[in-house]
Amino acid sequence: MINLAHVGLRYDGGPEILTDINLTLDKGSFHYLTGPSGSGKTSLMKLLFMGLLPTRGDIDFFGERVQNLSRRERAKIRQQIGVIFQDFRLIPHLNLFDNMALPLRLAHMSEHKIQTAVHDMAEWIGLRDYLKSKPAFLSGGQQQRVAIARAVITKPKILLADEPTGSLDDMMGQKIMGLFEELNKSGTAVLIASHNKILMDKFAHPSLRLKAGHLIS
Amino acid sequence: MSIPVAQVIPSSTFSHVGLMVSFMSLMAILCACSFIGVFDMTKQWMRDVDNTLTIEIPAYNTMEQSVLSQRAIKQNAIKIENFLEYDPLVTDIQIKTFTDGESDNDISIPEPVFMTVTLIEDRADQAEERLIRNITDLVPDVVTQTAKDWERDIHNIALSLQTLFGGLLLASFLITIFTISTIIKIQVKAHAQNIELIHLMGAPVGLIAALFKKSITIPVLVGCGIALCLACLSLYVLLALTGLHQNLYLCFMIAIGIVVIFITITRLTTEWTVRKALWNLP
Ligand SMILES: Nc1ncnc2c1ncn2[C@@H]1O[C@H](COP(=O)(O)OP(=O)(O)OP(=O)(O)O)[C@@H](O)[C@H]1O
Ligand SMILES: [Mg+2]
Repeated sequence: MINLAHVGLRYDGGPEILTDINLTLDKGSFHYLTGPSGSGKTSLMKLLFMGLLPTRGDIDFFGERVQNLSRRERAKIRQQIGVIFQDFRLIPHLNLFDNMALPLRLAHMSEHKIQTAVHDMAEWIGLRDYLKSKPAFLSGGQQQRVAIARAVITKPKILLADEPTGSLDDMMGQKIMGLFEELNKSGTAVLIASHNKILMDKFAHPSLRLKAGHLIS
Repeated sequence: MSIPVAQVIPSSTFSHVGLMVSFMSLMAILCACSFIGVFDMTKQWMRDVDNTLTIEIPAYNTMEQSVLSQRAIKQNAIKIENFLEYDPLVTDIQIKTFTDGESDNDISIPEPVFMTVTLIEDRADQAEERLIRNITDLVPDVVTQTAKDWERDIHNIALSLQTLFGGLLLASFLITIFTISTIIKIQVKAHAQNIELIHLMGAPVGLIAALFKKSITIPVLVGCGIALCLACLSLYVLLALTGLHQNLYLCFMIAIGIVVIFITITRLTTEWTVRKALWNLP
């Protein structure tokens, strides 16, 4: 679904953060992305959800070069990619319900279905009673759960998770990993950037390692 | 559109824009109507200017020429155009004198002839110009004295007034465009994070622009509505007071047209500014 060939990335004028990256995310694949802090995990994720365009090499989404995609086509593809940001990125002036409903609304789902989907999701992450609260009134772990819920609520074709369990306790971390595996079984390609060795051992999947801008399998 | 406006920008953001557009559209309506009103005012003023002109037919070498030219004025110019009221007593006596040759004294010395004519038609409708043109065709060296200077002054005043009103009208449009595009730019910057986020979640730029348009249109509609009511009321009072109410209907139409233009300007400027501001998103 996403294919990177000889991709390089540098932030305007700076040194090359990513060099000669070759990577394919296929339907039903599950990878971890590891590497020391500052190695470029988040930057690689940005390339994968079209938050940045590569400064070198080619990225194909569903067989089409990203540079050749129209704005409308890019928007369509983005709707099929669920992203869990390292810094959550919830919209501060919206309550949890509206934050979680956002991707469904972008997909033009009916308000009735959105009600059901969001309530089920909130129930599952244990935040049903907080649906009317603003993100600022939640703990870091609770906010992370909302960020996860927002990314998976549309059952995306590709799931990119940047440190999704960083603020969660072990129990919740495992529950979330279980959810990712479930999604993966139904065909979603999953890529998780993580430092959490215990969880990665428990839920074993192939691991990609970033080191000095290079990707090592 | 299934996304509530508040998803990107808090709904209170644009309430002050409504106030600004309200002021501007009120000013624009009054200026446009004044622009039209100036035409009527000038006509009114022209009507008040003395509606007469004097015509001097210079003395000729032969009496016949003088008589002919006078007759020409009387018979041709007057008759054809039918907008001359002349003093029949004076001119008829003179003409009779020349043609019939009854009095020897009068015939011996050819004199210049003066006539005062009153225009039947309105001076504002170029009646005077037409008359002078006709006489000049027959008597090339005819001398006319008119209230032309006054007319020129009135025209100058009218022109300055129209320039002023036209300038203000244009300014109100430009100020609105400038203010709205600035405010939109600021709001795009202020909400850059949320905008980037929903863009990454798959919201096309067109949808984001539509969100901005929707949230700015509501206060602008309210503002324009208030301006329209105020404008209609003041137009009604002003035009009725000054007796220029024949244009009331036209002015109401103009008011509605201007409000529609302002709403359109707002939406187009918003759309364009948002698209331009988000042009660099990947
Ligand atoms: N917007 C930016 N502008 C310039 N440089 C950046 C930007 N974002 C990241 N970098 C640089 O890119 C490099 C990789 O950053 P990145 O955030 O991708 O690392 P990371 O692997 O996600 O780190 P962490 O594990 O701490 O999250 C860093 O050296 C960082 O300084
Ligand atoms: Mg990171």
